[in-house]
Amino acid sequence: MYKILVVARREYAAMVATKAFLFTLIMMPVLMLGGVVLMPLLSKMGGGKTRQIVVIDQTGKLLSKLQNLSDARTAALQQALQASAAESADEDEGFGEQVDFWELSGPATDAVDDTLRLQLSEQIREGKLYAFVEIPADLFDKPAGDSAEGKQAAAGGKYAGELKEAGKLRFVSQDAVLSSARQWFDAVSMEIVREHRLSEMGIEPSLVAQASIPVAFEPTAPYTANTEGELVAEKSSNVLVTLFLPFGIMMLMFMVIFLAAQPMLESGMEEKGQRIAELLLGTVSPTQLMAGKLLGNVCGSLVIFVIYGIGGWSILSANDMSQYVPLSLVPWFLVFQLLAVLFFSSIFLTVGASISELKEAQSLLLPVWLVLMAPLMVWFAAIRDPNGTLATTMSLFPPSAPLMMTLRLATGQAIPVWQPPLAALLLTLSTMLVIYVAGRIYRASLLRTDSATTVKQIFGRLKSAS
Amino acid sequence: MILRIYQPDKGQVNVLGSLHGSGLDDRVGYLPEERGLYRRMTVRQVLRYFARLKGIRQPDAIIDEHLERMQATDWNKKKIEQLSKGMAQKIQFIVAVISQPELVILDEPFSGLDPVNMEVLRAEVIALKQAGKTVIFSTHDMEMAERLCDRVFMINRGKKVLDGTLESIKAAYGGDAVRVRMASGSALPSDLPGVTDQSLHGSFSDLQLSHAGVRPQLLQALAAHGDIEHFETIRPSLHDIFVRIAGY
Repeated sequence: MYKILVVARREYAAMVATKAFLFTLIMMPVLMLGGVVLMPLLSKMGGGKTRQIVVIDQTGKLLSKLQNLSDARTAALQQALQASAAESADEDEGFGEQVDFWELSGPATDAVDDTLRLQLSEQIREGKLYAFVEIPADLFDKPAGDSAEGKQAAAGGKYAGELKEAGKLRFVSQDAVLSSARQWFDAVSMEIVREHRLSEMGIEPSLVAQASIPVAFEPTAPYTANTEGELVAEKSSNVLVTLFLPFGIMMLMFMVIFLAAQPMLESGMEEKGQRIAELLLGTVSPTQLMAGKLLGNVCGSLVIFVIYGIGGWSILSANDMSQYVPLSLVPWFLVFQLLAVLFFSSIFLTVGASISELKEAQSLLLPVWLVLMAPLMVWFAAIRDPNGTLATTMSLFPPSAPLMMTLRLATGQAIPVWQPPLAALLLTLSTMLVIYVAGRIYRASLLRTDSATTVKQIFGRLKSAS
Repeated sequence: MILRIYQPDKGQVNVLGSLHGSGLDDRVGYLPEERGLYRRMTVRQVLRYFARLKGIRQPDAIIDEHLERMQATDWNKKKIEQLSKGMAQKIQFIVAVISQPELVILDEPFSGLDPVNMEVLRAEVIALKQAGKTVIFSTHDMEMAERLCDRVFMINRGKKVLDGTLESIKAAYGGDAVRVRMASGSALPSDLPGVTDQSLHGSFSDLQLSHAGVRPQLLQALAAHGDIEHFETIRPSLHDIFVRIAGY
């Protein structure tokens, strides 16, 4: 046992006390969550500009209204920025959008033709103008729009008989698709046109506004009763709890498995490639060596869990969201994490001991990666129906069980009580089998100088180990 | 098989008087031919690791002692990847003997070493021998084997072809060759009794005999031929014996 601990200690130090480990530890969440968190933050950079926009208003009714609305928006934003710059801007503009200001003006000439459109486009390309907006003269005459629903709705009303192909407002800029200005024009134009239509129909827009006040459906988890039999209000469910928390917990486990298994591959390769194995096997048995390595690896994985756990908890606490963390899930998480690390690390170690170069591992580990990552591909469907056939089957299939069962448990929905223990039992039995088989292949591979580049060759070594 | 890296097809392996089991690992030291250590660990970390694997829980004092004997005290904090081949070989030798094993297996310990380091390592091997340790020394360098070994075991094409003390082997393979020089410096006749082969060795002639018992008749024949200036029974080196046995 002492020798196993010595090996485990070295393996643990080799795993966590390296710059590469720290780098990967930091970069993994950045890469995984970068799209969600960093991109909107980065998109805010460069905001605060005043952009020139020309409005070609062929109706002759909209430009002044749009200018007033834009000025009001600018005033509100500046006031909000002065009060509390970032937060207020976020509230007004929505998460992650740039806070630019717009200066609207009409075109220099009254003649609206292709020459004008080309001139304005050239100014946009030269950077003198941000965008131009073209509002067709017949905007208010075309209530049906393009949609079949619109045509159907209008068919029985005031505009019946006047339907023809609708004209479109046009927003022209270099970033027309993503432009927040386009989104703003879209919203306010719709509002102005709607008010105009309501007036034409003789309906007071304020009445419609009152009638349109939304009713709120609060998503709520099933109620429970306390010890005195009183109904206990569950925490209000929201998108964070329903979607991102289970996904985040599953990603945490994936990162732990990835960070733990990868060093095993390198360790197996180093000891084989550098001919250290022969020296080691003169001192410890292959079983002791493998046991020590896996033990060190499991300890390393716990460190990763603790670091990410504390980091995640701190972030959630800072945002007053720590109450959403399902602490009751931690024991199950640890059980599945330990088994998953043992399961995948023994496979990676064996592959490492069977090859000579890292590129040879790619084809061998591809099926392993696919099975491991399968829950990441179907996570959304699994969250929507955690007790469905797909989620249930994958959470009982040992290689995908750790991620999928953790995901299902993290949804907070009632899962049959026998399923998590059964999944853990199946995973335990599978892990024991994998360690046994991997141990024999590992022993047969360590001292060989050639590589096994196919799964068939690897299992051929199992035969030779016998 | 002694180290249980490979299992015997049949039979048993007795090591240090008992059937070999894991308990004997710490009493056996091993220096493999193909050497390798963890490149990113320091010298002290590597020595500590292998010492602990050999059951030494507080190895620092022993490590210091060995590093001093190897004139390597400055290498403590050096990473293995920073060491030259000779330096790394010395560290690996320390790994093999750090637990003061009763049986030390050295596989080509001098290959690639410069003469100075070779002498340092040779002195260490002799010190082990003088301390009563059993050293199994595997080499293709017959001269080194002759200088270091008490007993020689030779394997050719997977089969044992020689087994005995150096003296007994030389006695067994010696005496059937003589080196001769006539005072006149003249060539020897080709029909000398019992001589199967003749070759020139400088101004001497080396004669291979059919067996050692023909030496008196040969001496008489040479005396009849002329004045004998030199007549010596040649003791063959291990190299000669190996070449003769291996049939090269």
